[in-house]
Order: sequence, then structure tokens, then C-alpha cells
Amino acid sequence: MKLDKELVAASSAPLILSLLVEGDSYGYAIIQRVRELSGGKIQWTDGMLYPVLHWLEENDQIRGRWEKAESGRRRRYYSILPKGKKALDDQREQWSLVNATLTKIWRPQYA
Amino acid sequence: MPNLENQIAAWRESMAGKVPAETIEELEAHLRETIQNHLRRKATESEAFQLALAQLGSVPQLAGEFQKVENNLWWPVKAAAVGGSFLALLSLFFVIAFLTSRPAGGLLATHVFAVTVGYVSVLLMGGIAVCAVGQRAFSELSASQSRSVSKAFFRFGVIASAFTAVAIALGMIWAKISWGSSWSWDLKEIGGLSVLLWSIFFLGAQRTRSVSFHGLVLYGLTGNIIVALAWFAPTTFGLGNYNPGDYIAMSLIILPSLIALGAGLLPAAWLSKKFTAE
Repeated sequence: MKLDKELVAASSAPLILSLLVEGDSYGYAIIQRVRELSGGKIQWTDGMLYPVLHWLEENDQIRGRWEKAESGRRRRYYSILPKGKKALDDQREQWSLVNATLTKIWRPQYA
Repeated sequence: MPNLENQIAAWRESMAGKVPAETIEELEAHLRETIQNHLRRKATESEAFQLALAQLGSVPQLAGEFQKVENNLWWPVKAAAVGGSFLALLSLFFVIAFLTSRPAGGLLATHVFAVTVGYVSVLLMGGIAVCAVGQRAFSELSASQSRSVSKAFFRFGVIASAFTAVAIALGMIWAKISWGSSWSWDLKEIGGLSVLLWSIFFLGAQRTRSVSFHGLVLYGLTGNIIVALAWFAPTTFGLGNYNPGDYIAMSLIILPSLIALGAGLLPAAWLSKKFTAE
């Protein structure tokens, strides 16, 4: 099953914020983790992650910092900020509401 | 056959100018990790590069997505850009209308147009600075708002420097032809020179990062005062035709700028407490 483009786009910010709540991370690792958690079903075009990261940073939801990786090259790590945690709480409520509503509607149909 | 480093360098070159240098570095780090991943799965260097590139997305696609983030301008900056463009077009229209009726006055008309564009650019920087200080009374500017202000400061600073320099040069030529001397240190000339030096110092401070963002905002406020004096003080204080409107215009620009300058010098935390307390 492949997720619709719109759904992938809408879920990208809450997915990123949720992963950053677990701990600081960087682009490549975030993509790998999403792939792993979704069993490879959520497939982002890798480059599309970065505009979302930058948008979240522009809106003070996350903060980026450069660190030296094992390879000696710089890598940009991101950490979640209080505004990001608040945005994630809002998103969680909204997604839960949509999920609960759809579950109620679909239950009799698939029972 | 191109080696991996050459291929990455060519990709980096294709991205240059389309997204900021730091973003290219971040994307390159990602590209390299993906390539390593493919190499571990026994792909050849060329295959690994092509696969990683396909995963990352094409250059136009990436540039388009980043453009959406980059174009997120703060509303005072948008207002200054729209207002500035409108005023510049209006001034140009007057110059063309003037030249149609008096073709011989081309030099003076172009000088007036250049002065107007140069001085208005500084006033727009000052207007943005007033908004930035005002915003600070409620909360610090976000990263995107600060970036937006910095970009506007740079662009208006360049326009102000270029147009004021042209205006001074044309004014000198006109004065030489009309009065026999290109420079006489009168108030208008000193005003023009002050605006030019102010904008050059502003750009220098911004480019060399020798002044903090807040320092630049405060410096931007002083631009209002310099321009108000350069534009209106000569007539107010006896050079040329006295116009009481000039005194009012000068006061209307200088007073709010001084108030904003005072507010900008207060600690942000104290200001924010005062304005956001219930």
C-alpha cells in the first residue's frame, strides 16, 4: 500500500516532531527511522524532508545545530523546542480525533 | 567515467545559488550517507550515486520546495517591499512626465528621482526597524522574522547606497554646469553625503557581522533621523524655499524614531513584561 501524497505531506511535521521528542536527530536518521517504524510503507522523497525541517525551524518549533560526525564531516542535528512540543500536542489531538471518528464510521462496515 | 567526488561536486554546483550554501552542505551530508548505504549493498560508485540522487529528488524539485520556505516574509517587510515599489514607480512616472514637458531638465529630474529612491529606501529600513522594536515589546522576533528583516535591510541598503551615490554624482554635475562649482558643503550636499555614508556603514556592519541583529535594528532607526534631516532640514533652516510642511514631515519621522530608539535600548524582558502583563 502506498500513502497518498497529501497524507504523506500532512503527516510529515507530526512525524518529525514525534521523533525529535525521543531525542535529537538529523535528516538521514529521521528518514531511516520513519521507514523502519512504518515497515517501509511511508516513503518520503529524501529531499522533501529538509524543507519541512527548515519550515519547522523557521517557525521556532525545532532548532538546528551543526556537529561533527564520525566521518569528520559536519552534520545538522535538530532538537525540539517548547513551541514544537505544543504544536505536537495540538497535532496529536487532531490526528486522534480524525482516527477516532473514522474508526467509528468504518466499524459497522468492516465488522 | 566520472568518479564519485566529481559527481558530487557537479551536483553541488548544480544546486549553487538555488538554495543557501548551508542547505547544500546539509543535503550533501545526506547524499553521502545514502551513497554509503548503497555501496554497502555492493552497488558500484556510479550506481550508488544515481540511486542516492533519485532518492534525494531532482534539483528543480528541491529548489522549488525550499523556495516556499525562503519566501516566508514578515508582514512589515512585505508592506515595505510593496510600498517601496509603488513609490519608485510613482517617482519614475513624475520624472517621465517632467521630461516630456522639459527635456532639458533631464539631469536634475534624474537626480531628484535617484535621491527619492535612495532616501525612501532608508526610510523603509527605518520603518521595518520601528516594527521590529514594536514586536520586541511583546515577544522576541522569531528566526524567520529576523531572517526576513536582515534580507530586507540588505536589499534596501544596497538600493539606498547605489541611488544616493548616483544622486550625489548627478547633483555635482548639475551644480558644476549651473553654478560653476560641483561641491560647496551646503546642507543638502552634507545631507546626501551623510545618507550615503550611513548606508555604506550599515551594509559594512551587516556583511562583516560586526554588529548584532538588534544593533542593526537600532542603527536602522537612526537612518530615519539622518534622512529626515537630510531631506527636510535644509529648507526648514533657511536653504531654498521655506515650506512649513517640511518641518512637520521632519518631526513626524524623527519623533517616532527617537521613541522607538529609546524603547529599543530598554531590556527586552522588561518591555515584554510591561506589555504582556494582564
